[in-house]
Amino acid sequence: MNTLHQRVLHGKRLSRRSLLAGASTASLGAAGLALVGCGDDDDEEPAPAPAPAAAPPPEAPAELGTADVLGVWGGGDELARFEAMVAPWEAATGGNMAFTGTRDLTELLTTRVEGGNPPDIAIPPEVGTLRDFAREGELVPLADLDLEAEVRANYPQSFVDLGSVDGTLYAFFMKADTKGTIFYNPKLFADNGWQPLTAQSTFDDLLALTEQIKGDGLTPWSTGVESGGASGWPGTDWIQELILGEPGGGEVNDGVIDGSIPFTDPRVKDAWEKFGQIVLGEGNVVQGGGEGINATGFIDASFPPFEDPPTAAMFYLGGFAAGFISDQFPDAVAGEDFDFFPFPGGGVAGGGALVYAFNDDDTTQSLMQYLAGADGQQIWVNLGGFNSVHNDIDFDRYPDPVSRRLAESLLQARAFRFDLDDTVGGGFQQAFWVGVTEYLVNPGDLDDILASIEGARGT
Amino acid sequence: MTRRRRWVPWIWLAPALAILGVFLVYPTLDTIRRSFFDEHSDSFVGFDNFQFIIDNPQSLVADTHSAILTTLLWVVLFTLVTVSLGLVMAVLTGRVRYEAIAKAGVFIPMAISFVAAAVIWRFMLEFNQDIGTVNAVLTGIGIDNPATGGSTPWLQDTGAPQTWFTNAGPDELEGPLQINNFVLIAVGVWMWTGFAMVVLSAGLKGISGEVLEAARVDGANEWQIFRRVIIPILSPTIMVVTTTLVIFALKIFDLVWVITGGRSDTDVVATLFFRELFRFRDFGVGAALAVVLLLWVVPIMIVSIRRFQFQEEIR
Amino acid sequence: MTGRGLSLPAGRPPAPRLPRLHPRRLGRWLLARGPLHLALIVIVLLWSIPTIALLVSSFRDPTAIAASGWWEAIKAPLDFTIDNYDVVLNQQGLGRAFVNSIIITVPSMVIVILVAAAAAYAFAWMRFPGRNILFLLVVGLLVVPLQMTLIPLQQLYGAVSIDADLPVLGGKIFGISSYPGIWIAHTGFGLPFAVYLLRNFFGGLPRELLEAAYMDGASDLRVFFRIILPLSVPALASLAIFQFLWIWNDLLIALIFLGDPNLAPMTLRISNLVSSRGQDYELLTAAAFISMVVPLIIFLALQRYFVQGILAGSVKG
Repeated sequence: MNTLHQRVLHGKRLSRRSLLAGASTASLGAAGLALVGCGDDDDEEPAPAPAPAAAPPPEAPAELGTADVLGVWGGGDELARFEAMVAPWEAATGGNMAFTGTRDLTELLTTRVEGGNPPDIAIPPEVGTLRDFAREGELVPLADLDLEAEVRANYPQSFVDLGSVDGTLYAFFMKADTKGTIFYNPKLFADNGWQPLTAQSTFDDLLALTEQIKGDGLTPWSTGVESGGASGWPGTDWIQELILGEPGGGEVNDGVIDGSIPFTDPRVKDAWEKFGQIVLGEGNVVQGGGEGINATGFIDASFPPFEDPPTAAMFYLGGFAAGFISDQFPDAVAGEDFDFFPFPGGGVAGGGALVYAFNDDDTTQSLMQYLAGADGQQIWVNLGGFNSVHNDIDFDRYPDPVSRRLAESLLQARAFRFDLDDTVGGGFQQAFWVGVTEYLVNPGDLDDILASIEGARGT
Repeated sequence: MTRRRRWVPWIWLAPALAILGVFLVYPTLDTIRRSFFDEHSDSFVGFDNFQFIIDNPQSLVADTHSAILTTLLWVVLFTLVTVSLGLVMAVLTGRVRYEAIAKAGVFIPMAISFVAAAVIWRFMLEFNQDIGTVNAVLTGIGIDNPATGGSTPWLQDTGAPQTWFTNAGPDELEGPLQINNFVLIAVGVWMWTGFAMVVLSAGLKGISGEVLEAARVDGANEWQIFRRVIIPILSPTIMVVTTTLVIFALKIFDLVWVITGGRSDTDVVATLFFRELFRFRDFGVGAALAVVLLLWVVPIMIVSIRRFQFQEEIR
Repeated sequence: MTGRGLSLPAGRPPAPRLPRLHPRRLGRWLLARGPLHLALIVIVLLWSIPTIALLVSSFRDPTAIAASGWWEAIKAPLDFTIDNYDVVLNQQGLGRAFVNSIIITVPSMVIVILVAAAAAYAFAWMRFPGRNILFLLVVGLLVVPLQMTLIPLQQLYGAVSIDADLPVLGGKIFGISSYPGIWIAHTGFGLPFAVYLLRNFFGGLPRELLEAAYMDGASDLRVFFRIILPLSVPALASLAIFQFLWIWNDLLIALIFLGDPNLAPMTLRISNLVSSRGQDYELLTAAAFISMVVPLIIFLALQRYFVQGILAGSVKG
């Protein structure tokens, strides 16, 4: 066994070395990296390369080692595509990415950082840890990785702001998802003469559509918020969209985050009640009621509108749910068998994967620069299931119309805000999740629930 | 006992004590220290963190009272059922020809990882009765279905399918006495009975056939043999299994974490302190909760000391 | 239930293994043995249904798993697929992960048992001041939750990291991402139970046997290896099985102490099969059986130490 293992390891080492030797571009520095990958966007003007990166590196770069990367991705859709995205970097630089995926990322990251054993790079799906680690001085500012100017030049300001803590830029967004999407079955809608809503629609229009569908004899909605220890989060997305959909909703959202508006504010309560109006309304949801919604997994809840025959007309969840539908119904054609319309009100919440580094060595720096660049991200865009917020990614390069419109809605929203509970994190986030599941079974306790969530602020 | 040089026992103990010192004693002391400090372990706060556990101000996300009661429920119910079933299986399987198969059947759940166990039990107890085995059975026989007039206080009034893991259970009962806790404990029993069975079987192996034969010749029936011969000889092993399971129940974590994440009143002390430490990053309260777990071992140790002194006397 | 099952075949003289079943004897046999078999079969069936459900599901298409219960799959027409196994087994690096799992598990298990057996021998058969208190403290350490130790241990491992160019050990003699580091960690976590179990069994060995050996001038080492260990094989076997299982199925320690995927065990590979939102979990059903193969082989290999335990001389029927 040992000799086998020895051979494996030696083999690995040899192949890495031979790769290095073979790559005549071994001296390729940070500047060269921008050229690697499928950079055939010839019709676009060349990306303005930041001055310091364009200069030749002061010394021949050392042999790159292994970058230890911690994230949430796994399986064939995400991890394999991410690895495909990184493969050109590994081939060109001789560096090696060692990725560990876990669904308990916050916990694992905290454990390892506190134990003095952080990874080189982390890619968490929320910004709560960014704030904590940055303030504790654990993170390397992008400026120290020769990346700040490039990120500021190539990413929308709202995303740059989200990656900054106290004025210092630490992180960039490699992947983003809109959460302003109501999925529906276009054929079913066409057959029954139901009209999908538009960005100009209001909550009342949504209620009217719900009543119309119910009047025609089909259950309007499918909803499920079960997600193990994170159960309730799909409900928090509903509530955030409903906050953003009202005039001045963006400011309410920001006020809730910074604490200037308490969670007990009438505008917040109004959003909860609207959520209840839809999902707890008699006959509105195929899962029956609050108990059924709490017990139904959020992935399973995305199937009923597309079953044969459909048992519900539509469901609300982030844009990533398109992937659940195409996994479960492999023959379904995006745009024909399933599609989405924007959540009424025109505000858009979104989630995303944030990239930050704990280390400033050559390998980490090189990989961070590659991940932030358009060429690498384009690879994943082509493979599907990935929205980039990099300015140089062309909307026409998305594999199908639904994913293209998802990317567009993300960048063209009237009021874009990052996911509310993912921004706050910690006990407040947990309380928000729990609050949703409590509200679904005891809607009469709403005031107490809101007070308890506000009470969890700062934990 | 033979005479030895005084340092000889310590040579035999040294590797174990050294490793235990580094891997368990040192982290324990570190945790005790942190439990008296603030959330960043920077400044001394006295008993504030313990006061937090007693006052329970964050009951929505960190219900310390419910977690402690739920842990207690685990300790009592899980241990009782697992040890009894393990003993039954160890003794009874020895009397049938399909012993090997029966034992393997009970042992297999032990070999399944927690994550896989979570997957399968979520299938078994899925709300949708087209997928959930138990709800399919309940629907099939019409339990608690208003149409058939059947109703049990332990089940919800939802028609037939039950929500086993979420805000479930008898509405009139408070705190940890929710059906989801009983379900989780049942899953724990399913996984750990194999453990009790194997250890107890190994103990039974040590009982010589002659002792039993002698008892039979004396005219004892099988029940008497079980009560008067097997149980006394096996009692140290039963104590080992019971103590071990009590302590495993005290720190039960994985099962709850992967199935419900501690939601809907299923939190136990270990899931709560894990969340406090690594999600909320409050090292003070997290450590204090861990210390609460450590304290519970004291009564167990006192019972063990008594038993030990007794054993020493009869030896 | 225990009582009824046991009290019935009272005082029966040894009978032929396969009693011929005349109608009258069949009635008596049913009365005598029926409850025993019924209880056993019910328990074993109850215990097996989830496992069977898992097994059936592992041969189903993910869309089918999400659409209908596993029992639908065993009705005609049968529609099974080995896709799940195909994906898991053809995962890149699974072979190496399997080897890594063995490299992690076997030495950890052996070290735990040896260290614990030595300590248990001292606790059981040597007199020294503070013996019982010390033993109880060791047992008391059972209560220390693993999660509590993670931060201090990482700090410690970071401080005493020893590099060496030994590819077999992952390029490191000690510290994070080294095999010896994780062996010792697993040893530490397994020791309290191991010492407790073994001390209990060692203490139950016949006193006369050991006294006689000491009288003959046998050294401690000789007594330990020639008497204690051979006589405790059932206990050692059950301990070995559980240590093997716990280490084999460990994910947390591996996540934290083996950051380098080249050293990572199967559990890490398997957990990476599931995507961030929980899709592809059907692969876990197949992975569960694949990762169960080795522990089950160990169980079956050691099974004779817990099978036909007591009533070797009595009737089986």
